[in-house]
Amino acid sequence: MKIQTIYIDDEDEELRKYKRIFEDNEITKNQFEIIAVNSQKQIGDLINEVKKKKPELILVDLDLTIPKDDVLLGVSGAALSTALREEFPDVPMVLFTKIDFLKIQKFSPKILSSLDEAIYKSDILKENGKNLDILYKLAIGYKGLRETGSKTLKDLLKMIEAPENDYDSLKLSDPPTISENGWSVFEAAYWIRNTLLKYPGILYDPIHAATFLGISKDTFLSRSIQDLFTKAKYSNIFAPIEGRWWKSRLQEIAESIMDEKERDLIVREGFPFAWERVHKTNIERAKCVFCEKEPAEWVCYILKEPVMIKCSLGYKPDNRPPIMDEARVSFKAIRNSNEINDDKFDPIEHDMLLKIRQ
Amino acid sequence: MVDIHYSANLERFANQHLKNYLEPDSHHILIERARSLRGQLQKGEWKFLIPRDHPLIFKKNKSDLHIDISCKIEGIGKDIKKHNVELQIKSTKGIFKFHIDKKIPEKQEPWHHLHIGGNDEPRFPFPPMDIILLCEFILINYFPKDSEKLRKDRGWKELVIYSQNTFQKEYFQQCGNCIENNKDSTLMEHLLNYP
Repeated sequence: MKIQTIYIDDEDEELRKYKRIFEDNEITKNQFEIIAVNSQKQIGDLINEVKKKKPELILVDLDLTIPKDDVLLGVSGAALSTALREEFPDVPMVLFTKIDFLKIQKFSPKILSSLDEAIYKSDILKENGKNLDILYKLAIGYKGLRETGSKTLKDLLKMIEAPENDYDSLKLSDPPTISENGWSVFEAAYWIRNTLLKYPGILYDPIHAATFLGISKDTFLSRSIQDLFTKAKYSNIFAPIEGRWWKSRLQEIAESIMDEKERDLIVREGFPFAWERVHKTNIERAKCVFCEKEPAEWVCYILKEPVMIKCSLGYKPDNRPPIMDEARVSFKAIRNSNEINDDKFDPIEHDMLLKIRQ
Repeated sequence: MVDIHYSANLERFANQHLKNYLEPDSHHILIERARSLRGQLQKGEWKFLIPRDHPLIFKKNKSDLHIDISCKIEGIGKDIKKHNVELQIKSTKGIFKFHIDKKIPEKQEPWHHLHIGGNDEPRFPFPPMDIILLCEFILINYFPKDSEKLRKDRGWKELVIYSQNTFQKEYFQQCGNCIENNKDSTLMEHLLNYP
């Protein structure tokens, strides 16, 4: 069954263009049923029209300022998404717009928070279809959440196949609020996508998983290592294309090949030894991006490379729950990267920046 | 002596109460070790090791002291063979190491005892401690304001009491019994000859 996808735009030409792109693409033609809807009508009529189509995914253009038949919707796509969210709380909604950074940035995060994602139209087919993958997984993920009968936190954790050993940590990761009717689909989706899968701590992306095991990212992604850690991989709703792994399962599997002496070491030291002993081959360690010492203990938030704690400073780029790994940036990034924001360091660490940069 | 909940308690203690006081990697190591222990406890054997090479390092407090702890507890079922913890404090005045160890059977030493630095003697009778109890002690001494707040927290208190019951109950019961009932030997003698 294709995903019933409502695409709302104020330009008929755009509606035709992207409907055709989705219909012509070998992958998307079997995944999405695009229903083009011109936005320029009374907002009540627009919502009724969308409702009749039983949407499973809604794409909304940001700039809805071109009138049709002298009728203008009168709100932007961002504001429209808030109205649509009220009407369709269980349907994923994506801002689908032309590249115009300044306009997106001028909206308050609260308005944009009704949206699940913002994707530029010109990027829809780029990066091996990464954005198409996001759209498809959004729709399938929401569908899975909608179809979950009972909506206790435990049901949600079971649904995403979280290891029971992680339940305590998951409860500390700001999961969705549980009302009388259980969690809402939107909140559950938001938590999984914007906390659990976004911040390292309970689930790890390839570089964090590799560093936890004391090996390089390339080694971690090699076939033989991936085969060993198959059961640690998160393969449930909203799984990002680059993969996520349950940290607790990585440890269990790593320890399963470690002998007693290796288990006396911490995982990042013991696992590479165990692998070399079992496979009689050398393995590349996680090397600090600054001092090159092995195995590195952390991952640089900016460079996404392994780093030793002593070669990095704590950084506060976001409001991640305290249960997640703290963000740290390497001295190398502090010296060389334009992405560093000095205001995101604690005062004591801020005072150290000058010395590190000298 | 230790049931399977102990590893979960350690993890809770680390995540909910200790994270703000430990260096980030030390917090990771504690979680990792607690999880390792869980796997061992499920098999009826267990070993809890915070290696000397990777001690749990506390964030520096205002006095700028380096404080770290390491630990080795090993046993099968209720039979604890080894129970050693070490507290190390480094300051400009020097390095101080405190060891709280379980008696080695063939040695004339108190059942559980404290000794300082690398010296064998003197060995003071001392109740056994685990990571949770030792952290309570460190926070009271070096983070007094935070510790006061923590002690009002019911969750914190329950974890500490659980550890007391697990690791210290027998010790204090023995001391109490000896003082109450034993007319023929001193407490020190009793602890030297026990178990």
